[in-house]
Amino acid sequence: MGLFTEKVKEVLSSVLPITLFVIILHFIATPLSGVMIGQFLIGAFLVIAGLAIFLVGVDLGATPIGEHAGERLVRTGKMSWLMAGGLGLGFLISIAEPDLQILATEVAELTGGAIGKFAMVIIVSVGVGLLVMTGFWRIVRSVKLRTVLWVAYFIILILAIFNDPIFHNFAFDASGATTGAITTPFILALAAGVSKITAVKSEDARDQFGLVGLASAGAILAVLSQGTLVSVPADASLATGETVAVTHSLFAPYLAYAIPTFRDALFCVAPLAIVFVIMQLKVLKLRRHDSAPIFFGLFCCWTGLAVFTIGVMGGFMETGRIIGSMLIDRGQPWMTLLAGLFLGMLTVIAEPAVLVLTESIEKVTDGIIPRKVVLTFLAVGVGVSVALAVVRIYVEHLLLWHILLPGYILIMIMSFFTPELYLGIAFDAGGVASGPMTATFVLAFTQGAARGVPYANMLIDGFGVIALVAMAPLVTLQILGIISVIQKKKQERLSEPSHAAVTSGDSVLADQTTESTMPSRELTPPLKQEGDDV
Amino acid sequence: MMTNNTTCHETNVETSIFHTTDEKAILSIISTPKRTEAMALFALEHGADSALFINASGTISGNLLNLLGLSSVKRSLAVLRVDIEESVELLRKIEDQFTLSRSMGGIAWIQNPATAAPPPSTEYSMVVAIVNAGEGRLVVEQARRSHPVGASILEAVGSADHTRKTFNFEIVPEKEIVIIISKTEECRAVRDTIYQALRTEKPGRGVLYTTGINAVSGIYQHNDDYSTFAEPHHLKSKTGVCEKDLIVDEKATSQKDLLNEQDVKSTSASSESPKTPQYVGLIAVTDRGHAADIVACAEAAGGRGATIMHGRETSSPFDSWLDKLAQSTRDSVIIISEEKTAQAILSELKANKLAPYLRTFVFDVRDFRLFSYGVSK
Repeated sequence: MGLFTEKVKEVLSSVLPITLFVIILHFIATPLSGVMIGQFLIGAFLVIAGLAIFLVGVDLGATPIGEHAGERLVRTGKMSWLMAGGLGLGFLISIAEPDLQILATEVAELTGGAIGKFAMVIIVSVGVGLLVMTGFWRIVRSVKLRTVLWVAYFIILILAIFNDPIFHNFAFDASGATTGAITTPFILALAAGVSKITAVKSEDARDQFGLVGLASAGAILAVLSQGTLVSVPADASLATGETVAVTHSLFAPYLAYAIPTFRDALFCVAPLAIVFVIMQLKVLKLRRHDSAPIFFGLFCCWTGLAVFTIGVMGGFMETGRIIGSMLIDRGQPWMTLLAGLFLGMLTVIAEPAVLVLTESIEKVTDGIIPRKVVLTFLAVGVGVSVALAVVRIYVEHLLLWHILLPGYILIMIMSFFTPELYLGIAFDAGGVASGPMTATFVLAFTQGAARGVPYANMLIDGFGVIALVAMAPLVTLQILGIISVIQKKKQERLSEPSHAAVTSGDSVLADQTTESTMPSRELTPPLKQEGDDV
Repeated sequence: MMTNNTTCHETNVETSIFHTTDEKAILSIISTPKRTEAMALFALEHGADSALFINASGTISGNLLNLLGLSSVKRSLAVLRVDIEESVELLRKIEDQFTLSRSMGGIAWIQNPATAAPPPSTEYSMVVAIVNAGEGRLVVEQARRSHPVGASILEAVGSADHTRKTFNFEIVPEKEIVIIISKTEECRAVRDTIYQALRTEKPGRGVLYTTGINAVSGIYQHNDDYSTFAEPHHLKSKTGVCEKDLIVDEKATSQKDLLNEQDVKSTSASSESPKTPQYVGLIAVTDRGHAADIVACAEAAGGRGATIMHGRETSSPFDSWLDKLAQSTRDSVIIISEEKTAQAILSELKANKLAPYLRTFVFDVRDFRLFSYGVSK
């Protein structure tokens, strides 16, 4: 089955670790009931099957559609088309995201109707569309990603100061919600399509990354600008609505989730299908031979995403909550901390969008940044974030911004030293790390833990973990970028001078390097070069 | 064909550019990414001096799989530079170590540079089709109509149309390179089937050529008994009827074809000379981002088109993740042109040092054809 077999192998290696970890926890620390462990195992099976189908769908459906769309837009050669396309596609893909609908409903309730559900969905989608548009613009105008990110985050910082803290939580949650399982591969593919025109001239794949990160920033910007205009009732944060229905049947939770999940997943995939059908009829006109896999891919995206989500909702969420509260009840903070660390590490590698992103990174960098390396750095970062979230539950006066503000200052300082390629990867990874797995399993875990601590606020602390998870990759993957710079410098020093200068692909210096090294090569032909030419 | 080639070089002074003292052969390996990397690192440990990795995809046959797009599997191509004398021994070592002969184990082959002895094997050949992106699957499908051959597809881009700029960038057409290695007579049938299926009046559909290989290992036989070739087949050029027939036949078809081309191509230099022009393939490897310079140089020298692939290169057999982070990506440019043009391009590249980290390789091309027989640009 070719592609399918490959994906099953990939998914097994990413979902089995978290499954095994929960089983180990079951035996050593948090004995779950028989029904519970049964539900979890069914959930794990559904997650594996769903994720494999979904990833096949992404390869065959979402990615080609996104690439075609991006490429066609940029090939018009007209800025107006490109801008309109970016705005439109960003808006469309974001408005269809079920997570955003859920969040908007919650926000409407919490703010006592001060922010309408409809208004919130529209405004966030416009925010995403605008930033996707900006992302397109900076690719074709060769504007540095660093510059655009700096501007975006500077505005975010200013807006954040004027916002009620509760909006910080909404903002980060919105950024997590808009960069969901379908959105990420689609936006990645859009970037790949648009950056095709710059690919031949650039010395790495830098333009292919960063658009997902910008889209998340768009969601944050939208929520915060909305927040500055609205005043929130004082008791807003206390209204925690969610009630947990514990079922004792093995299959009941799955049946309950099945129909709404398939419907939501259909909404997710619908914009892609619409975009593709329009393109196919108007411009692409692919032969049946080429369009059949795309339709099949869309079908796989839909079913795969639905099965995956059912698995996560039915099997992982409840388990996460129980594990969290059981660990707190044992009264050994180090154990909760350790469990949080591992849970965070192992959950993020099972995140669908993370699988798509890491694969894409490995492919477009020709294996220079191997998937395993990105996953390791990502996992460590998210693990530490979840551990920090646990610390926050225990420590009463540690507020979210006490961690976020220094964190983002560090990130912005690091961005001076990080090559553009890694900067894009880091911000993309930040957008994808808080996907459905984290948003259910890890969130449930921290909420379960928060429930057992009297002074912890379930809502605030729960939202906090998403913001922390989204921040972690920005730090760790920039560290990876800085390591690459150091490695290159080291290699230059080791190898003969002229050869080293040429091999330097350090993106910060690249433009000058190639220019300046050319004459010197002529003066001193390197040893290795002799006779290289046949 | 080979004899013809050699005499040509002996008489022409300029051809000395093809002869350098330390010419290298290239050893190519296609397998799953993991296995390819392992084999390449093994080869680096045993004398190869650099390995260039390029993403590829393999194809599983099956109608439904193909229709649904599930037939594609991830593969990786490694191109290694090895000493000509040691190349076959190295191939044998790799085969022993990695059991290339088993089903889906991968394939490895050696190509010597154009003029180096020994000349290519007559038993096996490689058919290469460079087509527009998306048509690789079609090529493979057609090829398998004549013989159940294995095929790999590489992603590539063509050379840009310089007359049009979009947002100040030149648009490069996306291409796919299909590689099929099989017995020479099968290759001919495969080549003809592909050619018939894809030839078109529209310009710019792509090219098709056959090239000799010196040794191959890992050809999976599609017979019922699943027999495999355990030995690398390194065959000295056999004299006799068989080869002569082959040469005559090759010439006949290619000549007919080229005449066809010449009718419509007034600018073609070949129309001046009465004999069929000799085509060679030129591979030039440079740092990523500089392929356009090589292409420009080739175009200035009269080359018609080029195909560019991305890859990463390593020369260390101990390829840790830290080393990888520091590696540079490369562009490899494939130019198929007449011998004279290739020489001009080579001397131009050498003289002007146009591209950083330049390595070149020239190989013989038999039966070069364009799919487009209509008006070419």
